[in-house]
Formats: sequence, C-alpha cells, structure tokens
Amino acid sequence: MFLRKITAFLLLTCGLVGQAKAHIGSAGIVQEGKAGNYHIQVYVEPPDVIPGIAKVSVSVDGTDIENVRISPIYYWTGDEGSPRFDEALPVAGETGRYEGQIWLMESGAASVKVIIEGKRGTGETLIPIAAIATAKRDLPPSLGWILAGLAVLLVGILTTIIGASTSDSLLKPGEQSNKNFKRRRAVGSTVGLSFCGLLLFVGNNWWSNLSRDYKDSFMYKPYTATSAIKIENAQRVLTFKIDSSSVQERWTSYVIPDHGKLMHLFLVRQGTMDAFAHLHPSRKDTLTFEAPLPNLPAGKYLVFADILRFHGLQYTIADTVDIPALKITQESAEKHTGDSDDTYIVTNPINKKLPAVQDASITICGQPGIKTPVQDGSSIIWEEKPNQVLKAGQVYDLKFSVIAPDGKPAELQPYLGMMGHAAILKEDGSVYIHLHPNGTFSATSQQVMEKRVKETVNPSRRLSNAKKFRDSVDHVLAQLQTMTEEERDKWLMGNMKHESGGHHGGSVTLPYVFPSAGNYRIWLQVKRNGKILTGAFDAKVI
Amino acid sequence: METTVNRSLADKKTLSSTQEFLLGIPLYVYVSVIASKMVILGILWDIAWHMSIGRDGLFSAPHVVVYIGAATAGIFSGYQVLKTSFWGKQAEKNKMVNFWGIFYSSLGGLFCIWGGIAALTSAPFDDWWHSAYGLDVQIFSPPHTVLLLGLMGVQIGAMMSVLAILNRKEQIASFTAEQNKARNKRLQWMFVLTAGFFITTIFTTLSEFLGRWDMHNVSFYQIGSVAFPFCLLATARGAGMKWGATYIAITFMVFHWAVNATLRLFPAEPLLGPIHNKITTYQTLGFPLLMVFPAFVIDWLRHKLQATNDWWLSVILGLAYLLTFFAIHYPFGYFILESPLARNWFWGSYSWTFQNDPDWEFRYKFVDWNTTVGLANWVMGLGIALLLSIFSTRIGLAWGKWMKQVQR
Repeated sequence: MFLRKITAFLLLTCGLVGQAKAHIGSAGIVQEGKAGNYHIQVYVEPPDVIPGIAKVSVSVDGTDIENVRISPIYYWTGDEGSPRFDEALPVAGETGRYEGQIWLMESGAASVKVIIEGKRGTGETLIPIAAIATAKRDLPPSLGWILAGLAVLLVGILTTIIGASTSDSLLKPGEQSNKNFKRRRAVGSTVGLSFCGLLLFVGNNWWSNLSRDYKDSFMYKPYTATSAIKIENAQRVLTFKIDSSSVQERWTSYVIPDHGKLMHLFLVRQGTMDAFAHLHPSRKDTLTFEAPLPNLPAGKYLVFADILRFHGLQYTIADTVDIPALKITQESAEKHTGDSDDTYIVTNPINKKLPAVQDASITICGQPGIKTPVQDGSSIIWEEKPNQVLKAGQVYDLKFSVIAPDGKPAELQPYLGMMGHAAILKEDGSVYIHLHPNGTFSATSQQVMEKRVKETVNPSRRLSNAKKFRDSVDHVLAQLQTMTEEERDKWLMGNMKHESGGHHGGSVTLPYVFPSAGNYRIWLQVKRNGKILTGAFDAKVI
Repeated sequence: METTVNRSLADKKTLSSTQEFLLGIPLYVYVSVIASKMVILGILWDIAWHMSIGRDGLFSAPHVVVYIGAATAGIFSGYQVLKTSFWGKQAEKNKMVNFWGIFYSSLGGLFCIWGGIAALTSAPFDDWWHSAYGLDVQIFSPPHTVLLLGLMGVQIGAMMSVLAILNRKEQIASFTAEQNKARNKRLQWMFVLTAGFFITTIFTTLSEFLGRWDMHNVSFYQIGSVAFPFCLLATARGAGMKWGATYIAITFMVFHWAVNATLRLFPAEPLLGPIHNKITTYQTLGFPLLMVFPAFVIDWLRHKLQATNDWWLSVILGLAYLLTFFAIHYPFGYFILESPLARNWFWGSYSWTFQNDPDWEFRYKFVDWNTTVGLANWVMGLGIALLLSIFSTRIGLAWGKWMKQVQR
C-alpha cells in the first residue's frame, strides 16, 4: 500500500497525473525530416496503457547505416534519467527500415531520442510523445473461456482437497473409510466449495474496483470546456471557457505559445464539414479565451482547441457550439477585431461535389490528383493519383503543390513559423489532428524537450509562481505583436530546420497515418503574397 | 503411536546407498521442499528485478526460477498420481487419498497440483492484465494473487507431504534406531524449512502493507495480527517441536534477509525510463519483520500452558503475540526507517527503486498521512488488532491440531 502511495505522491508532486493528448483519435506520431546528414521518417506508436511499450519504426535513406539506436527521455528526468539506448533492428526485406521498442513507465511528457550512425556521421532527432493511458479493454471471450475452464478445475481440486483434508487424509494407511468419514468428506467438500465461491466473489469485486480505479484515476481525461457566442459591437464573439473541474492540477497558467499563439481553435460545421475556421483566441483569464468570429454561416459547429503546456504536452479540448446567423455589414466587417492570422473558408459539404449554398466566396473542395482553385487565383494539387485508395495504419506523405495563377510553382511564405498547416477531421468527428510538414507533433514541444535535454537539473522550481509565468508569456506575446511580419516569422521559426522536405518549389508534404477507415477532410493552409490560402480536400480511407 | 513398517523398504537387501542417504524419505518429498524454496526465491528475485532493472519478459531469470519450482512440484505430483492410480501397488494406494473415483494422491500432492495449475492460470491472466491496465507496478494485483496462491499451494503441498510421513511415525525395519531417529529429525527440519518459506511468501505478498513506513500506522498491527498468528501457531504445532515457532520464524528471517542481502551485492542497471534513482546494484525489499520475538514468546507460553484448552490459549497467545509484535516493531520502526545506521547493506534501508526520487523528503522519515495519531485511535485500532490476533491464533491452533493428524 505504501509503495503505491509513494508512487501516487511522487506523481502528484511532479504534476504527472495530468496527462495529455494533442489530437483526437490519432495516437501514432510521425516525424519527417533530417537527422544530421540522414533523411529520416520515424513513426512512433505509443502504448495505450502506462506503463507500456512504444513501438518505434525508423526509415533512413541510403545503405550506409551502421546502427539505429533509440531511448525514452522524460521531461522531468531529462536524458540523465534515461536508460541506455536500445538498438532498433533492421526489418528483413525492407532496406533502410529499423524497428525497436521503448518502455514507458510513467505517464506524462516524454520523447523518443533516435541516434543514427553510419558513413555520413551521427544523426540525432528527438520526437515528443505523450505517455498516457487511453485503453479500456474487456477480457476477450476466448481467454475468458480458458480462464473459466481453469477456474472450474481449480475449484474442483480445491473442493476435493478440503473434502479430503477433513476425511480420507486422516485415515491411517490401509484403514478403510467409513460412514462417518464419508459424511465428513461431504461436509468438508461443501465448505470447500463455499470457500471457493467466496474467494471468487471477493476476487471479482476486487477486480471490478481496480478496473473502476483505473478508469477514474489513471486513464487520460481531457480538459472540457463550455463554448458560447455573444454579440458584441455587431460581431459574434466566441467565449471558450475551460471547465475548472476538468483541470485536475493541470494548471492552465502554465500554457505556452505554440507558433506564437496561446490557443489554436478550429471550428468545423458539424455533419457537412463545409465551413471551417482557424482562430487564435486571446486569453481573458487563466481559463477563458475569446475570439470574434469571421463570416461563418450559422449552424452547429465542432470546436477543437489546442493548447500546449510548459513541458511540451499538447492538449486538444473538444466542444460544440451553435453559431447564430448575424448579418455582417461592410462597416462591422471592417471593425472586425479578430487575430490577424485568423482564417476561414466555406466549401462544399463532404462527399458532395456542389456547395450547399451558392456564394462567390465559396471554395470547391479538392480531390486527389485534381487541380483545385483557391482564394487568390492560385490552385493546389494533392499529388496523389485520382481515386487513390488510402489505407488506415500506413504512413503517408500527403504532398500538396501550390501553383501560382501564372501556372508556375508558387513562392510560399511561412505562416505562423511553418511552411504549412493542416487540420484533418474524420466525417464523424472521431479523429481530429493539427499537423505540419515536420510531423504530427508540435515543433514547440520538440524545442521544449531539446532544451530540457541540454539542462541537467529538474525544472520544477521554475514553476513556483503561476502569475509570474503567465505574465512572462503575455510579455512575449505582446512583443510578437510589435514585430514586423518578417521579424515575427524569423522569431517563430527559431532554429527550426526547414530543409526537411516539408516544402520544395511550392509544395508542402505532411506525414500522417490515418488511424481508421472512413471519410476524412483535410484543410491545408499556406501563405502566398502575404495572404493565407486554405484548400480543402476529401480523402477516402479503407 | 509408532506404527507401520515401511514395506517397500523392509527388505534390507534392496536398500541402496541412495535410499540410506535419503533416509527412506521419498524423492518427491525432497523435490517438493526444494520447489517450495525455489518459488519464493524466484519471487523475491523478481521483485528486486522490477525495483532495479525493470524490464522483463516471460522468460526472465527470476520467472524461470518460479516456473521451474511450480512446474516441478506440479508435474512430479501429477506423475505420482498417475503412477499410483494406474500402476501402483495396493500398499502404495493405501497411503493415498482416493479421489474422483479412480485417482490416488497424497494430500500434499493434491496441493502441489493445485498450486501448479493456479500458477499456470495466472500466466495468461497476468499477460492480459498488463495489456489492459499496464505493466507490473504492484505486487498485490488479482493475477499476481492467483500466482501467489498457487505458490502457497505448492508450499502447503510440500508441508503436507513431509507431515504425512512425519505423522505416520514409520520405523523402517532395515534402519538402525539412530537412522530412524535421524529420519524423524530430518523430516521435522524439512517441515520447519517449508513452513519458513511459506511465511516468507505470506510476508512478501503483504509487503506493500507491512513496510517500514507502516510501522507507526495501526493498520500494520492489524494486518500483522491477521497474517502471522495463524501460520505461526499452525506450523509450530505441526512441527511438534518445543521451539517450533521460533525455528520457523528464524528460517523466515534468515532466508528473506539472505536472499535480499545477496542480491544487493550484485550489479544491476535500470533498462526503463524514467530513471529517478541512478543505481548500480540490485535494490530489494527491506529488512524482514522481527518475527522471532513474538514466535519465541508464543513457544514459551505454549510450553507453559500445555494443559490450557485451545479457546483460552487463543486469548492468551493472541494477546501475547500482539503485545510482543507491537512492542518490538514500533520502536524498531524508528531505527529501520529513520536511523542512518540502518542505511547499509546489512539492514538494507538504503535500497530504493530506480522509479522513485532519491531525494524524496520522506525516504527516511515517517509520513504524517501514513501515521496513526492520537491515543484513542491507537487504543481502538489495537483493540481491533487484538480481536484479529485472537481469531487468527484460534484458527492457527485448529489448523495445527489438524496438521498433527494428517496421515496421507
């Protein structure tokens, strides 16, 4: 009991009980890019129970690789608290692919360090991952029957043992059993059977309690929020308030900016998915965020808000909101007070060629391999064969080429420090992810983890003053507002490596694994000539 | 009453030097005693493995030791059942319990078979448990309990196998009087050993509740009052020795200490992250409970109060056990947890799993939230412990009385 208490106490003091999920339904993490002189693609399948084992698959270019090694690094313990590296082994028949496992013993912010050694020297990369328990498993019927069979056998033998203990085992060698002993055996067996019944009953109750405890205390519980729309200065304003009951020591004072924004909030019209907005609400207090809405059509919307906490764990907070209709006048549109990087588009409903409403501002949703015009006269092509069948569970490089109106590859600019952003949503809302050319994780998380690895002390003492932390974050955000666009992009891109194949001559590549079969919509956002372009694409996954 | 001559050994000409060496005690009895040791040895090693190395698989070294112990006991006993049932002589069957119409087994053999099957059952159960709730982080989980019950089954089986022969008081015709006496002594000591291993298993199973941080919490005394009087009293009676409980308690303490202290000398490196405590040698469970003191008091009183009936005896022994257990462990807690003198290889209090922060402020200190405060809470809590102790003693006495009667 005490060992368990100690563990619980340590986890609580470290704030690790609060866990994270930077997506909904897409557990696998893909990284695409450079590690030293090697081009790599890493796919990490984290365990869905903690402690558990993560599967790591590394694909490296070239045939000069000597070895690939992997190790888990936790935010709280840094690389000093990591076990020695394990070798990822080559996969037979697949040149350049290596597979290995890492063991994750605690919930919380972690990462996988990959080291590649070969003729081109040593290459390293760090992929942030969230170690969280999400699985709720029931006993498979086949195993249930095997266990039940063994339980019957065990009950039978134990009943026999207790019956024999009170009767035949007490007879001297050769002595014959009599009526009295037979009666004792019957009584003993009955007591034995009852004892077994009691054991099974107590055991079953215990199991149920542990299972409930696991669901209540160990499983990841997302933050929840309440969204509402108010009309202010002739515009609709979204108020997004994180429910304080869902915080559970994951204090929101310690939120840090990702791509220069404290929150990335996506709105998608439920069912048809024909209206989409990417907003950046401002912080009103530690739990409340607000954003004036662009000219979205009225309806019920799915809300996905991404925040990033100090240790690099991303959280997606999901909700729904009813957006009322409001006539936007020319005057109110000019007075729009939203973030300058907010964007939205209205397009045709998912799986339907034509938009539900006729409007000149509507963008038609693209399909693989078909050139699709976007807002400024340029167009985007999803470089896949038309009618290409995508398979769930496979790593895909989703490559999009942006063509300028003159037919040449478009010159793209960074948008919020990245060459491209994408949101992917499954038709039923069960899968949502915000991803970038470097992979399915936040580049800021990676920077946080890299910085942590360089340190040798536990960073917890920096977190003693929530207000100071919040103020320093606000100060950075205010500074960003004063910068020119160029300065801001430079600052946001920091030491990010953009030679990663993420964009070449107007094209953007996003690595992703569709987690399950179904219809998906991808919204791709790039920047050209200072204007953010949003293209929408439908994907069928089997 | 001394009875039957062992017919199979009656003819002096057939007596081999091996049988003389074994003192006419069947090989399966030795095997079951060794198995009863291996299973708990494997478990203690496995716990240290999880505290120090962390990463394991189905066939990690400690697991293999446990499997060999449980499988040997189960398979040997199963083979014995089939051999006796289908090819055995009537004289052999006469010493066995007949069950399910056609089978013959010793009671100990049945326990060993049960234990083997329970251990086997725990394997797929534990495997699924890990996939549903995570890898090993605790000793006290349902699949581990099935395993530990199975291992206790193997150990009780070993005790019963020894006892049946001991209780039959066989005099082997071909042996000299000294040899027969030596045989009896050996059986008694074999019983003491298995009983000591059995108590080690019980303590290990409950070690999450009986650690050094718990010694100032009344629950420590309540759990200690349920768990130990019944097995100490039963096995002390079963052994039929004046200082039976004391010998058994010493066996438990020496064995538990020796396994862990030996492990602490060996190098070990954590293979899992995060590593909070950087270690280079095995970390183990701490010093065993000082069971020898209550056991000594119990033996002394048992000897003094031979004529007292079991009900009164339970009240006296239950009270004496609790008083001694409390009087020893409450002050011992200060030493073993808080004293720098306990932070060494011998006492083992520096042992600290790689998963815990070595600078934790309560590493060497009692924690408020795990300490019973207030006289009233202590009086009430110890009152409950006393009732539990008396109840446990009474069951132990009854079980011990039965142990003395087992013949097959």
